[in-house]
Amino acid sequence: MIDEKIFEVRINHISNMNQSAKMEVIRKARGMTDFKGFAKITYVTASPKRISSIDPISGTVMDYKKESETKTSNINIPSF
Amino acid sequence: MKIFLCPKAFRSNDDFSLQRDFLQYYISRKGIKATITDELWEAFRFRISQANENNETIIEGILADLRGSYLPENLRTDKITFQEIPAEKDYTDEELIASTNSFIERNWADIDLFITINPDKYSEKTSEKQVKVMTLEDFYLDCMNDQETRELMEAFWNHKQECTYEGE
Repeated sequence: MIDEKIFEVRINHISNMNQSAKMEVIRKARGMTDFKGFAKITYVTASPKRISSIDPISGTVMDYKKESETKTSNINIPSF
Repeated sequence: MKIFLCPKAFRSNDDFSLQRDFLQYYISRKGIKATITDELWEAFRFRISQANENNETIIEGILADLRGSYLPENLRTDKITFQEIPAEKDYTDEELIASTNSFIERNWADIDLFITINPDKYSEKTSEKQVKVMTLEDFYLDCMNDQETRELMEAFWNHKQECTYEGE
């Protein structure tokens, strides 16, 4: 299997998703104690963009950001 | 809804982290992205690459996350690889402000909300078309007082409080 390059990661609320995507997220979220209706949608390739996975996350977009920042704590994200 | 951000809306070393968290939450809940100029997007990518040289995986990870929230006016992709063309250069503050002004001139009719540190500068334009022009702080206060966003604000605050308790 070819490793596709991740182009974009979106954290979206299920209220903005179509019915089938919403059902998939809810199904995967069964058993998660801190599911707040947010999912991580991973897109591959820049053009055309294609969804490679859609998974529930614990908490909200802020938790996701915090987790990402922890993983990259020694990384410099410049400000403007 | 089209949200446009001025370069300074990104400044992280200030007192607006709560409001910035809220903007992120708002974007995510609404399922939209905030638009920025091509020059700001390129400067962003350039500075991230410079700051994390030789760490391609990390750079790509940061950019993938940013792409989920922010959208440049034009996404420049390579015609063969279909990947985004790497950032070539940085821009000065003056260049970023000039490109912001140019974007506003060309796209004013399409913008619904413009977040800037200097809303008074655009008071003449707001009489041409009803665009919400406000600071990040005012956007936060506006949502707090708006019936439509009250539920969203409550969810944001509930979450913030949970985080505070967990951190104690």
